[in-house]
Amino acid sequence: MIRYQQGDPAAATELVHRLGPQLHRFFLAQVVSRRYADDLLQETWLRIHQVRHTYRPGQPVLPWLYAIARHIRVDQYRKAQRTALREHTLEDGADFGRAAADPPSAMPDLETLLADLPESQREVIAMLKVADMSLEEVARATSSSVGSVKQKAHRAYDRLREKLTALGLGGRAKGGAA
Amino acid sequence: MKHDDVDRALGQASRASEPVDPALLARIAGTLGASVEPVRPLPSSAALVSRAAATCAAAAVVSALALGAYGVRIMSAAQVLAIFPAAAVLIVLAATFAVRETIPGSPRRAPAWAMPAIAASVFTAAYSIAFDDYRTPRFLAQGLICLRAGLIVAIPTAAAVWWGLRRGYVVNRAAAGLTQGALAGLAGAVMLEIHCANFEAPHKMVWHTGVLIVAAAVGALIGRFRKS
Repeated sequence: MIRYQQGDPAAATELVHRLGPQLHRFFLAQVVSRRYADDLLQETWLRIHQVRHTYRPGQPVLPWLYAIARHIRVDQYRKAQRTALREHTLEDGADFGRAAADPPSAMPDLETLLADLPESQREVIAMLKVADMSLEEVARATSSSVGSVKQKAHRAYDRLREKLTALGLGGRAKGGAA
Repeated sequence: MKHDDVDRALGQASRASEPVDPALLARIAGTLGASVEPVRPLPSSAALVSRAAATCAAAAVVSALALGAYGVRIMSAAQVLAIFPAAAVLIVLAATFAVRETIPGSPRRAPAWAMPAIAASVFTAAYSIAFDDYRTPRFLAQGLICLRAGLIVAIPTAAAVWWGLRRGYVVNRAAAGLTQGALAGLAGAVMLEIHCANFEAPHKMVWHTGVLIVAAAVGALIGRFRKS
């Protein structure tokens, strides 16, 4: 990140390839279409590029990066909401390609698994499990306290446990990871 | 089903998600790489806090001197000690809150709304200790004059604080507006402490503290409804 701030193009490429996939999964975990996740990813990197001077050398990169990603997502969501009030969209069509491309799998993908969670819990789980961030880092990225993040994660785990049990996937998950 | 089982399920589900298109990543990397130039990182938080706090203090002192320092001239030493050290600490605290809202991923020890709440509580406590006149003649008329004067000072202070922090990036506009408004409101409240010769405790508790609350609320509203 410091090399990127210093103007090294290779550092920019390395950052995009290293952090882009997990950012994309983070957006997908917010239950958005793949096309929309692609748009959000591009928008986020462009914004990161514009405000890269706000990164503090020595501070963890992920909370800074995810705070921006989260802001872009919320901002775009609000814009989309405003637009939706004015016009009809082909929202179902946007997901058409994705549904067709989904590989058959016993274990639902992350988006499906997290779909029933409230937005704030989904976001916390996505950061903790997709980005592998610590509680402190998630708290920084979401502008909240560690206690609040712990509480959201705990509630999300309770719901996920219920969902996995209902799907009969508790044992399969255990076996699959062994 | 245990905690670890949910962890494993999430891990598997994450791996089951569709990977991002490598062409998309290459396109983004190409765009960024083509326009990457060295940038000057933000100054340290301490420097930004010092700058914002100095702006607030300067606005309060200069405007109070311009209007006349009638209040502080007739204050007792105990009253000065009860008000101004607390005000100085609150200005630094408010500047810290305002700065952290302009740096993504900054640690948060308390929510943004805590700042005006703390400041209002501290001022109210200080007034109740240092001032014992609880009469309220012309409470509304005199109060509105102070509220207006405080807010008039707060407006340019808010603009100056915003200018000083403009290189930052705000991820929560309402919180940023609230904290910057609170800092500007503090400038107005401190100006009133220096200028206002009305030592009735209710007047100070409601109207001087009111400047801070109103400025914070207006800042939050402006932030909330400002389009990106």
